[in-house]
Amino acid sequence: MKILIVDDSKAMRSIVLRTFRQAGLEGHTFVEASNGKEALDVIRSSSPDLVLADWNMPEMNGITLLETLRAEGNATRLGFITSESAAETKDHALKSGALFLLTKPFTVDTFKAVVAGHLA
Amino acid sequence: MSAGLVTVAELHDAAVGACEVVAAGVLGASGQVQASARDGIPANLAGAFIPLAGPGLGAQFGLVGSEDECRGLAAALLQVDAAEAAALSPTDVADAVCEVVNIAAGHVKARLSEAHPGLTLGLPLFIQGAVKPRERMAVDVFDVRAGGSTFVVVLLLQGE
Repeated sequence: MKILIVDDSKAMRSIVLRTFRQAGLEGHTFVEASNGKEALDVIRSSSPDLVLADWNMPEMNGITLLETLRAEGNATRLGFITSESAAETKDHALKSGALFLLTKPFTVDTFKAVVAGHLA
Repeated sequence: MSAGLVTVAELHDAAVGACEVVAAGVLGASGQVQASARDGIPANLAGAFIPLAGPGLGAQFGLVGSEDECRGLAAALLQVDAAEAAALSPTDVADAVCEVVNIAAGHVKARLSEAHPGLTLGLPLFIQGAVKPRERMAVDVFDVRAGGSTFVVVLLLQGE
């Protein structure tokens, strides 16, 4: 699978990549973007199979990225990995078509439990 | 729903709870976080601040410390050893500390959201130097010790 990791923090992008390895979720191709606008360009040009996006980012945040995709009729699968964990935020994410909202910080086990099922 | 103003005590309690999440999930520190009051904001600090705003709240949540303490936070987040930590660039340290404060602030928001819906987080900013709160800002500063790490939490709450 081609997986797009979208986060304005280089540290967090590297942590997500590391967690894939630690969880044994290998054999995927990764692409990175540092905000929603960059991600939108990558999605339009290279059609990743799965997008893992932060919520709060400069230029374009994660929920606007998702809502923009859906408004265009783009059904690319997207899950949030974010520090946001309020019930109203989770509700907004899921109602907008997100697969999941995984809250930071996460353990390898939690990451695997949430993400692995979406890698088929 | 009228949420009312977020009080300093509410923000403080939410911040301590968020630090416990960071201590366990980022620093790998088991046991209780020790939070102790401190007089004033450190004069020469490095660290990150993030705005938290919404109905009843205009605040800045900051985690600050010495440059070594910031490097320690970055190393903990990135799970790197001492040699790798020493090799982190100032940009990498700033990025990682911003991410730690972002994580903590998300949990502050979550703790406040039930009683105060509609809060939003801004983007973190790394600073070095001194912070001068505006007049009528409430300031709450406390030291946090978790595992082998120490840092200072700075809460700046806009007055009415």
